[in-house]
Amino acid sequence: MRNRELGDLGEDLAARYLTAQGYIILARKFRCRSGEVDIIALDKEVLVFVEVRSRSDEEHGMPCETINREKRRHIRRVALAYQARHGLLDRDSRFDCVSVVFIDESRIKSIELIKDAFWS
Amino acid sequence: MLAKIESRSVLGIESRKVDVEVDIAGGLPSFTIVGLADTAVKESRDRVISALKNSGFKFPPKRITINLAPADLRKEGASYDLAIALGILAANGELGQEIAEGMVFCGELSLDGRLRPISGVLPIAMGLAGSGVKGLVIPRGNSREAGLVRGLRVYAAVCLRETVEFLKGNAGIEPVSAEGLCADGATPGPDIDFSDVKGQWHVKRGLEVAAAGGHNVLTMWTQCDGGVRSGGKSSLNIRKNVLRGKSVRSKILSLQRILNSVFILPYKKKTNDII
Repeated sequence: MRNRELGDLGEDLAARYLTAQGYIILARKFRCRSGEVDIIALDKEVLVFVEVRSRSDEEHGMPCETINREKRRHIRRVALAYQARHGLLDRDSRFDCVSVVFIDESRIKSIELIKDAFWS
Repeated sequence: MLAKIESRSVLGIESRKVDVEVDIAGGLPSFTIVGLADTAVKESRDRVISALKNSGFKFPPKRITINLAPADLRKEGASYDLAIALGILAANGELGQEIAEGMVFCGELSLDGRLRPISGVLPIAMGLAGSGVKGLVIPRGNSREAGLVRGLRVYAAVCLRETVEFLKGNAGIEPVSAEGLCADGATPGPDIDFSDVKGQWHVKRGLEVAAAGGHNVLTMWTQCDGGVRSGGKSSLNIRKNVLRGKSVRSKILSLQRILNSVFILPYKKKTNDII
């Protein structure tokens, strides 16, 4: 349960962070048959699919490093589903990743945005 | 947008035309190379991405598809890097498609955008000589091989940036001048040979051996063993040049062509002559 809460908190923080960076949030927790994408946003003209990764410590590596090939494939499928549903298949798109590292529930150690984190 | 850049592949000791077609479309970012490409060609994706970024060009997060045509010809090696990078720039609108028209590009890219020498430049240049292409762009490290071929304008570039500026007309690259094969020039001598000389078998034999080994020869006459003045020393010497001239040149060239289709030719550091 605690991990789930940490994740939700991280997503909220990430969404606020992205808004501050000029992103326009289009959807949160977009679900379809093949999985879920945490945040879908617009960065200027570009459609961005954001995966948020939260951790309570950095001891086991950066949170972003935990996105493996399987996860990328899932995100890609969901992204395609979103594009298809909204008629955006030709839209320039990108995958970003946000790492949130917590000290405890109320304080964060760092928040980092990696643009164009991976290619499908 | 769609762009097409011409490159060459080496098949045996012949070269074949390869069209590098690049299509950039919107959608999820991806980079695909099709057209019977081997691993070294597939890997050019990562080299090209880094080289473009490190040369100060934008690299678009778009759906990029690269086709190496004809599709039934097996593509090997890293020599398509340059054409692929230029194709991406052209398809992205950073380089006019028309200015690369009629030019042929071969070269491997390093991550910093520099061009690394490739094998097979000699067969490629020989195949293009007299074919009416506007020019061949190759890595600077291959200029010696290309310099052996006449009837073709060859430009030896240092890096991707220089190639682009050259194509745009902002920078000049001097065409590689076609030079001789060896330090002593090996110029084709007058059109005469040993068929004019009667007898003197031992002298001819000596000159042939010397020419084959690339040795120096001293010809002299001596009275004591019955030699005569005007015995034909100069006459033989002139005719000796034929051995080292045209016929040898074409033979060396065809040998090096075979060698170069697999290796980069070794050369003497001091004189830049190919061994």
